Amino acid sequence: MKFFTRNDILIVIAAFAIVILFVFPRGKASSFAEVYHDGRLVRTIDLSSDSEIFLDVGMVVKVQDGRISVIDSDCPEKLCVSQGAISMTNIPIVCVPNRTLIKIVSSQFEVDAITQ
Amino acid sequence: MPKGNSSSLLRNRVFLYGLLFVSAIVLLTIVFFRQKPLEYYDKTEYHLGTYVTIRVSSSTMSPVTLAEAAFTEIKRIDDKFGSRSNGVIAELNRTGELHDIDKETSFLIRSALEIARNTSGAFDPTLYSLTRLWGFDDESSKKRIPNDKEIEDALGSTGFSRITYDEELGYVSLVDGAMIDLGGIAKGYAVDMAIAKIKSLDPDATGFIDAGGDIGVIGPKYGNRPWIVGVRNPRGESVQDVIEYIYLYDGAVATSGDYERFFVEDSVRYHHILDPETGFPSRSGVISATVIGKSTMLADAYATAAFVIGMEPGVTFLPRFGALVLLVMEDMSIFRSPGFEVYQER
Repeated sequence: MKFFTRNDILIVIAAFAIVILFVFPRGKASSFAEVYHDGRLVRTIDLSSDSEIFLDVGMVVKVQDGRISVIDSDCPEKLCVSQGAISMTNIPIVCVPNRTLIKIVSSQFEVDAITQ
Repeated sequence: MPKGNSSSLLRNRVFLYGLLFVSAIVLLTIVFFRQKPLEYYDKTEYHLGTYVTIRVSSSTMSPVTLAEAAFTEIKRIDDKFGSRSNGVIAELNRTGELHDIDKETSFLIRSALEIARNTSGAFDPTLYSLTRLWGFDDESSKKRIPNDKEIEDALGSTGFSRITYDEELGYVSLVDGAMIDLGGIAKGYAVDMAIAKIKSLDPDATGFIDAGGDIGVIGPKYGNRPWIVGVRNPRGESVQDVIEYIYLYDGAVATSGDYERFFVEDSVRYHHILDPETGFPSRSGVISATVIGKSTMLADAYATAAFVIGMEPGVTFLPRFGALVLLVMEDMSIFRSPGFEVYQER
């Protein structure tokens, strides 16, 4: 006994595909990672596209699926590498020997208003 | 193909497409209601001698309506208390005394006098004749350095002690030809009242009102995030040149700076914030004073006072009146009153 024709199934799959296409890219909206060296912001990295970036402080970071990780570092213990990939805004990657901190900001830093 | 089979296929298809249709409606409804409060409506109009921007969002009513209502309120206050108005204050300044003043005027005079007392006259609502002498009363006025005689004469009719105010009788009188100028607090008051108007229409509305750098918060961004307010670098090349950041969930912030209105003569900068004691632009070493306060009116008035007081011990008293102070000095060093740093943590 046939419940549905093949066309019905295709339409259902197409409907779900459309929903997934619309919902997921928005889920990881444009977020950025900020790299601080000695407390100064030295670089902003877009997390929406996958990449591998060499930082002047002697670290290589990898961006994948909206997450950022340190994959190599010239520091002795490489604790930063073992901190893995982060995607949450309140948990940064810290490398003490390189005096470097990498943290994710939800969107590029923007001032809402100026008092003057 | 048996007849029963094709009708059960039809039933199943009706069920399947019905389900798809219902889920589509549910999904659209969710998306619609989730997206809506995230949208902020911006509107800028010229009032109170400056550009006023309202950024507002509401989940229950049109932000356009809220902004319109707020602007109507701001316009009402501008007409009543603004420098060009011909209302109660103008009449009071003409006649020297007034009986049965209305509650709103009474509130503003009382507030102005209270702030003047709290700041030992660093904020003074009677400086209009001095302001006019320097040409800071209007953009089109000619700006010049008055001579000592003119300053001395003007000082003879300024000072908040020349105002007699009786709250119960609703009576105000001015002596020695003094004139009240509520311009220093009317702008902040207008922002506060506009926020109150929005809140009365939707208590959960969020956003902020920015009247030429005096900012009052309607509600936190998206309901739970702070508004990021940059303090303008007083010697920066652009308005966007920010020296400090403040994170505001509620309350207000205002800044007084020597870059707002000034003229330069013989390479000396003469700015619009006059010292009530000397009659000259305040030389306290401050080039910008930012105050975080409960209301925009208080923040605005105390920012002016903090600019005049400077690093004198008096500035440490301001937090007790609900005014947290950040001063930028001539050498670009920064002074914060205790508690200000709380608003600088994200």
